[in-house]
Amino acid sequence: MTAQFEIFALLTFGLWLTGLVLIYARKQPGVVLIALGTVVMTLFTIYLWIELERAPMRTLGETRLWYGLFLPFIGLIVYLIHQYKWFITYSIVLAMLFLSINILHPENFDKSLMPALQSIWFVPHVIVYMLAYALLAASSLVSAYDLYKMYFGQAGTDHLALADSFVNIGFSFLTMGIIFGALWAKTAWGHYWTWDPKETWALITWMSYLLYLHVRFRHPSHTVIALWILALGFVVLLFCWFGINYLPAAQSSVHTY
Amino acid sequence: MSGVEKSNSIKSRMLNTYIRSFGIMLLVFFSGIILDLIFRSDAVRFAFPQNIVLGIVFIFLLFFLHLFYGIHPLIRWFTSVPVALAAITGYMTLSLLMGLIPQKSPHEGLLAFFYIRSSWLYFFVNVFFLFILGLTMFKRLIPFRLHNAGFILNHAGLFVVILSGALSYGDQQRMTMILYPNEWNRRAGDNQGNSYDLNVAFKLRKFIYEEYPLQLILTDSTGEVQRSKKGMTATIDSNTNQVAIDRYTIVIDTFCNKRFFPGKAGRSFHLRAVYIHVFRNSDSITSGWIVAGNRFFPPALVRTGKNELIGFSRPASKRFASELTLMARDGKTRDVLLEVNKPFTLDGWKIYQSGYDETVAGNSYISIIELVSDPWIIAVYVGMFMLLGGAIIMLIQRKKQYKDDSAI
Repeated sequence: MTAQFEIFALLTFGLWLTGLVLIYARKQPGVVLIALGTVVMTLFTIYLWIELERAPMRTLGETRLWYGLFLPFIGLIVYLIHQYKWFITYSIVLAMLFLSINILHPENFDKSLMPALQSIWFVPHVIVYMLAYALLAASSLVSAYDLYKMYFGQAGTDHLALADSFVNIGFSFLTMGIIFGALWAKTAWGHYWTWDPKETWALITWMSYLLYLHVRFRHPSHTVIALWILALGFVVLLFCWFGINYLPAAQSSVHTY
Repeated sequence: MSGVEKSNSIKSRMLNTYIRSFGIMLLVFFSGIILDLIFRSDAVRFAFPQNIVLGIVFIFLLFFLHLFYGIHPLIRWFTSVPVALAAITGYMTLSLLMGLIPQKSPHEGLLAFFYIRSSWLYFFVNVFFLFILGLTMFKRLIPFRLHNAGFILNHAGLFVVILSGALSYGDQQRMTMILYPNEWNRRAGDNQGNSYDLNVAFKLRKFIYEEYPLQLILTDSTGEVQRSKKGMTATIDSNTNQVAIDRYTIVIDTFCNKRFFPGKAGRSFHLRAVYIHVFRNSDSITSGWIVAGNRFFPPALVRTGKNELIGFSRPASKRFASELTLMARDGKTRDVLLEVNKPFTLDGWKIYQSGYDETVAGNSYISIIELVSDPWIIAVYVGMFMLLGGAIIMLIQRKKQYKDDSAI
């Protein structure tokens, strides 16, 4: 990524952190500052898109950028509806964590895009996937918060209704992402599903959330199981996103990036 | 019965349901593993017309089971959430094994875990999964109610995708064909090493290859030139006089990016080389040739420090395509441009631009194309679009009703 990223990122971090402090001090402009920080990151993404002359969605770092963009956006919407300070804090901390990885490990400014990626499916496939990942990360924040409260704090606080909304929307996007990917694979490689390691792990991730949906449907009062499925589902998701690059089974993947 | 007793009785009934559900899943699992241990060969693979007959029989079986035994406790149990959870867990376990263990052929692997997709284990788990998914689908489909549309699309879509994908296995064909310039070819090979004469033929008129501009890169690796983590690259072409990388100024002295193509002798190559002078704060550091390796020359880099080199980044292809003339089954010919991501259809085949001679890249005079035939693809697409529809309904449908725990 370009050298300008640091400047944009630090400016964004400054706005987000000041915004959070103001939110905790019950000052109105807090939300505005967080929104402004998100706008700065959006501007950087647009700038990168123009400079690279391709959608910035090819490398891991570029996908992290989208994640760092979508998460605070979700945090803001949830804060405006529910006034959950803990939620906006978590989503911003997680976004900053992922963007910080990009500061510490800057990538090449690389315009190249291999022919197989030059497809009308490229942008929709990655966008719906990153939206899904961000929403499911949001659901895992709910599970982490509730599990922490359950084991270390006061029990009885249950935000699973919020997690359900995230998973419903996130799972829909995940389904779309897989199908867009399958349709793309058919035009690029001749088959919609080849059990490529990334595909296999995407299916495992999808099924983890399928378990959650069924458990919630059947046993709405068994919150502990649901919370643990959410937490483990997110571990699987992260593994699918980053982890498989380290797997011996994944060395021949078409998704090496 | 007191409140506590009632709650305990519900708990123990629920526990029993789960023990039975996961028990039957384990039974399916072990039957598959044992069968694989006995036979150690590819599981059954159905081709036309067995697959279509089997598919119809399976769907009718599910339909009649629902119609005549839909209220039977056993059939009701098969469509319950605990059994669904067991089936999903079973399918997930197989996927996990595939995701963790590099897969081999049945003759190389000791256990089914090493060749899952050709195993009886996979076959059994799929049949079990489809059985309960299909029953659940019919349960909500008949009688039809509009508010169940999302549920039906999601379940039936998955059923159609998995069933048609599984049944199509024996009917799928994938052939690779190598095309030489101005020569008609109708001979293609599959991945088993068999070759076939097809009912269509192709002639390569021209292979088109474009690549991204060359990049100089500062690397700390002593071996092959890798992507630099520092983001220190510079694009160069024949018009570049000078570039800056990190703290160095690099003056381009001689630039060569030329294809040497003596004809069909197969000894063509692409020479990418540049002679550079490296300066730091206007002090001359070093000079030398940078060469991208090819089949005749080893790569050369310019050393600027103890563990610091300047070299070429790996060339990246931008576009490759073939101008083809093709002959259909009826003998008619036409000209087409075949590109990556833009396949075309010809007499039941889907034709793909697959590759070229990568050792010579731009000088490749051959083009590799793939011909894929999958008569079931329409069914798979129907399933996929049902799933998409289900996902959209799930996205906009806000209301969600949860069942009470006690109603097992």
